[in-house]
Amino acid sequence: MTEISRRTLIAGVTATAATAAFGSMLISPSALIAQPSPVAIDPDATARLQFKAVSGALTGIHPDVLVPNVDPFGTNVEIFAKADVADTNTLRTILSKFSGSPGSPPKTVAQILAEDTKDESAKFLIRSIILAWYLGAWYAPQDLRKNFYGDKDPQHSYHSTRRYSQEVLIPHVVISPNAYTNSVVWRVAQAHPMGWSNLQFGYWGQEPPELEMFTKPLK
Amino acid sequence: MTLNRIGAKFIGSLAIIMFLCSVTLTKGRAAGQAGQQSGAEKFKPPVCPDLSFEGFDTIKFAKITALQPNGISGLPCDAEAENGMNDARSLQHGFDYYSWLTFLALNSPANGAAIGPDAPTVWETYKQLPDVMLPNGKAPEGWVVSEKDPLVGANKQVPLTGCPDSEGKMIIHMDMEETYNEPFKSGPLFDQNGNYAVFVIFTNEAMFEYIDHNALYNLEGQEGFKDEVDFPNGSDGKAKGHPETTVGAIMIKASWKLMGPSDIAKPKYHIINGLLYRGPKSCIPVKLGLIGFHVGHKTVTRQQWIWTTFEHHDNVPTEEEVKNHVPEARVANENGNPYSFYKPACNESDCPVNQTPDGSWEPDNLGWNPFPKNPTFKSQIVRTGIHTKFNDSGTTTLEDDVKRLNDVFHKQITGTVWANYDLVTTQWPSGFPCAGKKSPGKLPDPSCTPFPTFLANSTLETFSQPLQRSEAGDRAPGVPLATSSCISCHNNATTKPTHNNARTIAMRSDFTYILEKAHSTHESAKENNK
Repeated sequence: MTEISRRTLIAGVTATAATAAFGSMLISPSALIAQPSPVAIDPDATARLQFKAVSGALTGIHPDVLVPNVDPFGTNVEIFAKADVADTNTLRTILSKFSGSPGSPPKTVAQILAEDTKDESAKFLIRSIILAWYLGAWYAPQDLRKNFYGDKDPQHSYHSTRRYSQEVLIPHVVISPNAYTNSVVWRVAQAHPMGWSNLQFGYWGQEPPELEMFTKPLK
Repeated sequence: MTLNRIGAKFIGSLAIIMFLCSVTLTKGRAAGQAGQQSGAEKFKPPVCPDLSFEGFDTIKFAKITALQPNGISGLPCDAEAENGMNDARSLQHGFDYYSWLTFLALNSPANGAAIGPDAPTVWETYKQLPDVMLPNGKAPEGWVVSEKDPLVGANKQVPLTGCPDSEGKMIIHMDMEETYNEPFKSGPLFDQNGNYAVFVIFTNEAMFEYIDHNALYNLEGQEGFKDEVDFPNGSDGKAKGHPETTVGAIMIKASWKLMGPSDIAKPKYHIINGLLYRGPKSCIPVKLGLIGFHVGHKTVTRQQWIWTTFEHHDNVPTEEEVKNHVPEARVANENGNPYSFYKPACNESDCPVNQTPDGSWEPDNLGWNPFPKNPTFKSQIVRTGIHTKFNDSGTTTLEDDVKRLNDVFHKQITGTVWANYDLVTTQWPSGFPCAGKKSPGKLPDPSCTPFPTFLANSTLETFSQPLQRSEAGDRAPGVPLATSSCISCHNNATTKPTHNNARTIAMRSDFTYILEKAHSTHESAKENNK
């Protein structure tokens, strides 16, 4: 019997939660990226702002929470770089469709996925991005593809190639200490990683702040 | 309610108001940030200076110097971004500009003159920690205002047995571990003469009055305090809903070096007279030179406080300077070692970098006396950090920009000892509107994302500086909750914990560790000395 690791379980749960969340995202994509950019000279500056907006839709967390105005951790930059290296063409296509352009109105993530019938590259890159935000770890799209197809596609399945493994893990790498400690899974659990917390003395004896305070900008 | 009772209440209220008015007039509270007597025209009420500025090259120094007729003494009541922009770089510039104005205001002569010739400063007339948290939890003396020019220690040093004639001298309490051991007991810092660097903590009037009024100066008072600790805010009148202008709570931590004859001969330091108090049997006059200067300032828009840190240019070299052999060049050019805590051209085995000495760190156990003939240990310190980029299109780092600002201000005060002090930088809570929320303890991130993430002064957080570049590489330059960060550290501050009374636990203390130093009215003399 296949054992499921804690991380694999969390990955599955968060991917499901995020998929549900982006479907109900009400903020328009254009509103998310309509901000003054202090980084206009940087060739990837616009792409990163688009990535911020896409990430908000994918995770269900407000983009300004994921990428605050002053962002000392730069998680957005790190995850964008991972996705760009993994599959730059697919990433740019997703960003382009999501933000839209004159003559080509913005599309939702659901619409983008619906068009992703050829090789499902958008589907698995999107999963990688969701997992990166939620877990602070990078799961390569091709590894997620292998894991997804399992026995249906023996040639690409971890289940077939690692049949006798004690624990079936999808290969992944923690993006950075900051990406891990600030990852979204802690926010949606109203919790913090072991050994690191910004909460003040006595928090353990009190109810955590409301969930919305973790997922939306403070008013 | 009967008429008599209403009348009695009215008369009672009137009496209280009259009493408060008389206290205010008597104590000259309107004298402002220096807590000085307002009788003379030269002492003005606090004025929050207009901080708006457009950039480093267009700072209007005439405006700064005109803040008060007698010189640069306008203490900022809050900070503003450069050009009103909200990107990280513009905000950082605004905070660093605020820090320089704060440094100049607090280090202006206490007698109201313009900053220039070295003289006792405004902040040195504030209250020192041991004069607030007294043995046996006694109430501190009220805020003292001086009819004449305020002196160091004017406010009001508790007389110590064996330490007479302290007027005009800052008492250095070597009987307190915090005076020579750095935060989290990470170790003492020794200069190249084999002397301890020593540390002092001061509060301004607003902060002291809050402690005094709420009886937070002893354990019993803290136990009886049922509200959330919430020190007064600074406010420049510009924040929405806060038209008031007031300085708010300020705390200062400074580090000193014991000055030898060669230090005094070269007037590069702010120097005052001090008394090195080591108990009733030892109180030694010393000359103290300022080497490090922290300011924490609570404002209405920065509930996590604004954290400024300066240090003397000759404390230590930076990591890059060592790599580029700057220390050796300075030795050649300046006919001797200019650094207080670094020996150039000393190899790693003889002079291990950023290390504490082995064994006991207590002066008595070490048999230490000022200027020991054969120092057993001399610190070899290199400044590391800040290693912060802005993630924008600019090509300069935070360090580059601070250096530029330092150069601009140094030119304005050239020829004074103050031109030898460098702003390291300013740490501030970057989350908005998070940083303006009262009761930050109830937020998901009470620290509101400090920026830069790490910040250390080489004399005050010597052993928890950011990682050296060679260690950090492309990684983050520090370890959360281990590498020095003003806000993240003070985010954990509480009142004094008690193990004797199960019904009372320590509570959040609004980003200050000062309240932890309170004593109990029931403590024995032995416990009070802990």
